[in-house]
Amino acid sequence: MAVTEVKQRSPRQLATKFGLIAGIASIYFPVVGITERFNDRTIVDGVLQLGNAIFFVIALAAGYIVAKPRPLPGEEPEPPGPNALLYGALASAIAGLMTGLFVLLADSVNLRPVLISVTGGLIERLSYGGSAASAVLIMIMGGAALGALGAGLQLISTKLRRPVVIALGTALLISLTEPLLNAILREVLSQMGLKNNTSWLYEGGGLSVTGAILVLILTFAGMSWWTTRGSGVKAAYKQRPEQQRKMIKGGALLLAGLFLVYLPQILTSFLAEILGTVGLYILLGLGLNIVVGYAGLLDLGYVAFLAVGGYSTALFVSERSSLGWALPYWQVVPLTIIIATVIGVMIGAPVLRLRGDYLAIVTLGFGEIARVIVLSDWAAPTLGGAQGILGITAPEVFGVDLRDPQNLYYAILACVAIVAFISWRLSRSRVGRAWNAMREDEQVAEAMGVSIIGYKLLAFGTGAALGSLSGMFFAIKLGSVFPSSFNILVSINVLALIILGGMGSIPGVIVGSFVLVGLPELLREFGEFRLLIFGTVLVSLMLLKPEGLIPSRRRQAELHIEEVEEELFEKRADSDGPEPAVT
Amino acid sequence: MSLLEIKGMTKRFGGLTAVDQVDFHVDEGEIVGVIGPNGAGKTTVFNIVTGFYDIDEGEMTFDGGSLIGLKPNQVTKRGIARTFQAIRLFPAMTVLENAMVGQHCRTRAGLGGAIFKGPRTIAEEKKIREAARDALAFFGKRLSPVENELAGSLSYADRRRLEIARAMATEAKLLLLDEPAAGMNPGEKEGLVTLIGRLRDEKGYAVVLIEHDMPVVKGVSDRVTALDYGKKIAEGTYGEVAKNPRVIEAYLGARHEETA
Amino acid sequence: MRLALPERWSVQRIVQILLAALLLFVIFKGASATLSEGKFTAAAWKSLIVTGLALGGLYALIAMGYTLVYGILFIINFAHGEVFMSGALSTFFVARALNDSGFLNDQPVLSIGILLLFSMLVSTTIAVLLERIAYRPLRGSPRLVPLITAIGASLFLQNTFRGMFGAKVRAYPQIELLKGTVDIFGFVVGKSQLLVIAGAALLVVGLFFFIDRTKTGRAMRAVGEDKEIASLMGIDVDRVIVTTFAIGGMLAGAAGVLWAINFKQVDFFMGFVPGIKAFTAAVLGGIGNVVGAALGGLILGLLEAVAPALLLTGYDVPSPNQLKDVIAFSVLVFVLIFKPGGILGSDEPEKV
Repeated sequence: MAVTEVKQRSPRQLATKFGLIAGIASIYFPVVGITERFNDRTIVDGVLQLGNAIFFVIALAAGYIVAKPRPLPGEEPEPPGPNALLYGALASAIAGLMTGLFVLLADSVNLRPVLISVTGGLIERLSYGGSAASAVLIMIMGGAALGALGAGLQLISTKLRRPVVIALGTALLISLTEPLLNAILREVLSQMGLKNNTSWLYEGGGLSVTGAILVLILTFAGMSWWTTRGSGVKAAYKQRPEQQRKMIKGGALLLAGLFLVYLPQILTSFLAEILGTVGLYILLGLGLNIVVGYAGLLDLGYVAFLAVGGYSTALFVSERSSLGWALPYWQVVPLTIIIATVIGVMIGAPVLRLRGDYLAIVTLGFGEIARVIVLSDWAAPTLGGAQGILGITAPEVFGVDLRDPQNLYYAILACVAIVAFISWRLSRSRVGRAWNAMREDEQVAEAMGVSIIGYKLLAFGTGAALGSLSGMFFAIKLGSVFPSSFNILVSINVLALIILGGMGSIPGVIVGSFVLVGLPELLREFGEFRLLIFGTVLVSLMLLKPEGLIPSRRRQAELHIEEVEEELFEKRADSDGPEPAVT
Repeated sequence: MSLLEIKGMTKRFGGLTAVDQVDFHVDEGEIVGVIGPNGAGKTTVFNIVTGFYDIDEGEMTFDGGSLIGLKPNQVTKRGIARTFQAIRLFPAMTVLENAMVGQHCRTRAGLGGAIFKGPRTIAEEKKIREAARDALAFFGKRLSPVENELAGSLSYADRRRLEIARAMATEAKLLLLDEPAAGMNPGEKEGLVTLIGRLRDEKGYAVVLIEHDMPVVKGVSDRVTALDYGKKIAEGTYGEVAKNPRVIEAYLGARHEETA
Repeated sequence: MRLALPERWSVQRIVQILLAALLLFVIFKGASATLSEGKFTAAAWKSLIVTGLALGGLYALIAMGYTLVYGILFIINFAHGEVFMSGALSTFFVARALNDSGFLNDQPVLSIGILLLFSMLVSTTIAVLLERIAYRPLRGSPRLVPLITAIGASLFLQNTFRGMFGAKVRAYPQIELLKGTVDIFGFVVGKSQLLVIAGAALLVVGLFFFIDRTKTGRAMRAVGEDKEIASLMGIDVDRVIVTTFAIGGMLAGAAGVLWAINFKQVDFFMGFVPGIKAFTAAVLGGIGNVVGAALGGLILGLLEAVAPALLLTGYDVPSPNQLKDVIAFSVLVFVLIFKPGGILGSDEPEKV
């Protein structure tokens, strides 16, 4: 962001500062139990586990950041000298020292009664087989080495650095997605009539040593080629006529679509199930994206609409529901959507006059109300209390049973495609413009003729309808609904994935869902730290890249426009003084 | 009957009477300048007319219909559009999109239209685009060539111009301009004087402008109204108002030096 | 051309009035049904009121943090519930150690002092770190940005404490001295409740004095009015903001210990619901207004304790206490509908 510290620190002070931060981070991970749990996940078989990899990344990063050139404003950045290596090493050595001291402390005092994750096993593992005292030494030296290495990345040219960093990142990613990629790879190999032996790439739940080397070399080579030639390729693409570019884009989309259609054929049912879940979250994300991304209304109770969709489906479809009768699906679907929209508008109407941050809290309150009511004895006769509603019959569409995970996946995929199309159309329409205008400046939008209440309700209602659609799939998928499925964390999850991808961006929602829903489902180690990760993602994104990973062009501009504004302010100050209070 | 007719407009904030029994009118095709020291209640009058504040006492009619109780978007639909003293564009939308938002109140496509994009929606979208481009074209080569740039990236004077273009795109009859010359250099101010004149002569707008810059007020106004402490203290041609002792006192009087 | 109805009678206004009438009817009918059934004795009502007062005092203490920060920065420090939790949960281990050594019951007054100090220290640290790391770099960015950061920070803190101290609910050690009840004007008050009410009252009054009389308090008010002018007047705005967070943290920390003593259990999730409710209290009183937060806290606490019995029993709702959160949140919604500025706030229109 625009606020940067202008304070000049000496390199040694900087090294100490980042060393301390890195040290705190290195202690943090074992203390909250991440190190221990993540060590169940192999990165490179027999060489590196995920938990330990975190230490390495921290030490590397500390060195890298310390060595980063810090020019004074207006000065050319000076390339870092060999001294940078020294300071990088110093920073990570400090971090190593702190971690070592922590291990020493934990070895001599039993911290377990308070810090439940600091077990004997953890300490043993952190001591690398030796005594705790030797661990201190190892950590200082190892830290220094890694820190120098990280700083070294600053010394080499950008052309070399980018491929190195990206190769490391790719190796990590390919290793982490082992459960998915390995299954696909095996299937592809066996269908091609080859032996489905993948040990040249994967072993023991992560990359094998050969695999790691292979991936590193290939990505490095590929990226090196791209850094030298990439701009040429891009320029060539840009020079093509509009028509051709559209065709290339369309072709890519089509290929991706075909791949998604084909995917379940080669996946185990476990993976197909995860894919279905990701699809559901994409659906939810697209719905909330209209409310938050387009219209700028921060709705923290979005799960309520998922619940409305799920429960109304269950009530009308299940013969075991309290109604005692059941409707066919083709009647239930529109009915559910109508109910959800009406409820959305009813909730929205009183609170939409409020300022954005109030709205957030009120919707959060509504989400909680929904949960409390569903769980209460009062509503139990109708909604089944904690036992939920069972016996949701599987729908059939043209004789195809949707309960089957594969068929359900296709149904969800089709729904996602339709909803994404609708979102896209909306974003470039009169309605979309009105929403955008409202998000940027409510009062001015109103002065330009946009009915604020009307358009807020429209956004809220549309979001509610789409949310209930996901709820319906949710109920069908499980065959039952329980109140515990609809807790606040779902809302937070959806919000986090939208923000990660970039508010208002449709591809952002899709990527966000894969990263924040797919990955944790795939890697069960992540499961219990999911919320911790969400929290960290939200905070660091807002601090570093508020527009998200795949920003819509507008959003990016909106969040980086301050500089121009400041300049304006200065200009204004020279002119006539502004009228106070009301401007 | 005048286009805009205000009788006895009064607005209080707590104990402070920001606008006190103001009578005011604008005829069709007329340019009226509103002057007065800071805090005289000029912008508050705009805010009341455009529906941002409720009126406490008094009447206001536009084109024969009462404006009382209308929301800002309804006022715009009746045919009054405004600009803001501190420029308020939609900075992250393109120049063209900004102007297209102005067309909002003259068009109707809703959710269904957006999703299915039938012939009517397509035709309407075309109309919106054309009207917006027309409004931009009024500023010659200033805005049209950059219609796909983000509004936030425009120069200061161009932002002021785009605000006016956006107001024009609402197809209003009356434009309320709040300090359009603020922050402009002398050359740009001269251009603004010509431009406001063209607004009336070529497009037939009635214009009310709040302005501190006296040459600008003098250059464009058919009539000038002066406010001080929420009260109207003078009205007439620029020459008459400028000579009015109460106006001179309001601007130069000792009591204002403390508050200025 | 005035119509018979004043212009203010817009559709919105009419809907509001109808809604208010309906609400009053529902309340009246429920309450009268409950009272005519005579299911609750006078003693039962009195005990509910005492419960409500204690709860209200706690809400008031936490609400101060929201209202102080909002008064100065105009952001909702959504993570404030976690500030409260951090003090309460980490102090559990001190309390357990004191209990195991026997010190807790040998020197109960001193022990409570130690617990309060420790909890306030932890909460203050967390609050100040929050400001420094999460909020300060975001000053001046669009409003939703700090709010999202706050949600993230809240998740982060919750799960960090969970990771460190575990997910289980811990039974807070009990102090012998605080067992039993006393009789005050016919109200039977638990001794721990008495401690909570007295402690909360003392702290809140102390805060009033601080803001009203001290130089720092005046600086806080000045920064709330206008940061630029305050800094021109030689006030170190950053320091005032940190102080504000620190005071909010201190009060939340104190509330943490008092909460633990009153409800006898702590866990990592305990900050979430009280956090939202304290925010509700702050809004109810008029956010940004310190007296309002105290008042809002008390009213909310009383409502939450008394209303389920008074209103819902009349409608034969089974286990009405399950729905107390619904009542608390409904209060928030209704306040925002009828008087968005809160009881002591003003409803002036937003600046145009």
